[in-house]
Amino acid sequence: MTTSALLMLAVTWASIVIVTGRFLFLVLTLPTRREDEGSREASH
Amino acid sequence: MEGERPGPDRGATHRTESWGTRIGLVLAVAGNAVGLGNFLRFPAQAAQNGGGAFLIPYLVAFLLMGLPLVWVEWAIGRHGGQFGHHSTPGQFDRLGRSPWLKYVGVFGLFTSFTIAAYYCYIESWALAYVWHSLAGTFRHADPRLFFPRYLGTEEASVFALPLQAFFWFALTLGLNVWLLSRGLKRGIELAAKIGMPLLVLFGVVLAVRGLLLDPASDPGVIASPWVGLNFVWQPRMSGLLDPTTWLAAAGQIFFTLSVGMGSIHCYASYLHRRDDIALNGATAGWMNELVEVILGSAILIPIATAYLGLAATQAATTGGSGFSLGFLTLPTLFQNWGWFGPVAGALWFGLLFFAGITSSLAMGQPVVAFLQDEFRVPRQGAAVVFGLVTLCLGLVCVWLYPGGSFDEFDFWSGTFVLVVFALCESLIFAFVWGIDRGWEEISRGADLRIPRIYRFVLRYVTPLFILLVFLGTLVEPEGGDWAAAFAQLTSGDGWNLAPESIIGKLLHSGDPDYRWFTDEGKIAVGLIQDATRLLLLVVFGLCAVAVRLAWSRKRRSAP
Repeated sequence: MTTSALLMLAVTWASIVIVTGRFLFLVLTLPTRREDEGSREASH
Repeated sequence: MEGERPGPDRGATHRTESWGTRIGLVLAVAGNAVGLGNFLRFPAQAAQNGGGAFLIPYLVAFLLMGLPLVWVEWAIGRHGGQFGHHSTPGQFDRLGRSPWLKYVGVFGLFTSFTIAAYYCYIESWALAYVWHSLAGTFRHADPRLFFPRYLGTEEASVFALPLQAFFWFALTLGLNVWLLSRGLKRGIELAAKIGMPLLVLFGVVLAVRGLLLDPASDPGVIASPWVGLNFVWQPRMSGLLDPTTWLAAAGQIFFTLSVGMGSIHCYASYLHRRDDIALNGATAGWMNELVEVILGSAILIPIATAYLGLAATQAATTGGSGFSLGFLTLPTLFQNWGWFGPVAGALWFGLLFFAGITSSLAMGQPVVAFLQDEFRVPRQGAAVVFGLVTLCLGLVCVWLYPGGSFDEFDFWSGTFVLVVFALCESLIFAFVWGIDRGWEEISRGADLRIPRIYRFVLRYVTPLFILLVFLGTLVEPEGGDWAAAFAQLTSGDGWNLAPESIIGKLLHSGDPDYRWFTDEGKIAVGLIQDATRLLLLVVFGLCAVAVRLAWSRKRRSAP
């Protein structure tokens, strides 16, 4: 592969993996609003 | 104000179903977006339009048109869901006072039926090819001869009666109906939770195996697969100055995200009013990009280049489609992989099948929801109605495939109407519902802070982008060469329309021999094409009548 193609590929793939990974992590770890409310109600 | 508007369901909060988990919803929406185009269309489009440089307009279009439109659809959907509307007619009805708004939502129903009709047919090819790969059919049969036989297009006729293709189509449709009848959690969400990880796994296995092909040691390999990867990614910056590249990139973003269909609206409508839509929407959109840009570019073209060489692969992707490579060439190439060949075929077509079924389920759910919400039809019954109507429309595509019915469905429903609907919804969101209410809806419960610049983008840039895509499709010049077309126009020689443009299609400009009957009095392709267009208009009219009937019933039953 040429350097320019490799550079383009590496930058694009890395950016997409980082952004998607970050968002997926948030989706998996942040509670949904309803669960939030439910747990608050349960704790009362 | 919406709350002041009279109506039988005013202020109602019907909560019939909901998603089981947040990740299930995100996977279902991502599965809706990830389709066959991610693996067959994207790499060919990128390779033909500037290579690595294609990614610049592609990502610009994603950030300024795709992502905002995704948020618009999530917002309209979640808002409508609070009033018990899980399909677009009711959701659009809730965006303002005008009674015509619900008829804009008819587009969402129409596309669900008509795209599902031909899309399930393609999906069934993938399922059939999984079977044939495992059964070893392609060891003996040349896929280039097998495919026309499978479709029944060998004879010089406008009709086809392919019994095998019909069997797989009915089976695929039956599977869709069964999953839809099981409901959100046990049907759609389960399919997405199984299908999406498997799709990624299959893609990774094929990409790794493909990129490890070595001309020195693997039989049949004539070039390094990295030459193919280089072909997709080599940036040709001159392409950035060509409007064709920008239009191709915007078109690819538009069609890959499955916007303008009513599916995202439907899925979002099962959320609570304070559930996040900003992060969920962005995650699903970026997951689609991950699959498309990484897996999409690392399988088809590298493997094809390894066995066919770069020149043949370039020729096969001319026109921006990798369909012939995917269905006609790859099954043969996998035969070089020894015992792993049949498995690789099953993985490739299994991947395409999972990409297809998670999308077709998203087309079925809005119809099921419409019948449930507006006509109180039970879920199972609604799923069967969807299946029967799709079967009837799909049979037209199967039977009249050689006559061009399939292509007519694909163009008018899967291209033209999508852009029109997306343009309408972006304008309604910004100027009828109002950007203030729209922005408040997107921001409520958000786990992701969307930059305020997006208020401006949502209001002006996104509609303008979609308008450009629409105009680009409307008057696309011959060969997609805009620079030459403008030069010709300014020199007074007129505009050379491409046969694939909307106007070119309308005027049948790609068919100089356009007519309804042959000299022998037999039915010609022109008649099939025009009859299919009439059928699509009738389906649209029937969807509008169904909406009118639903609202009449509501008015009558209002206290």
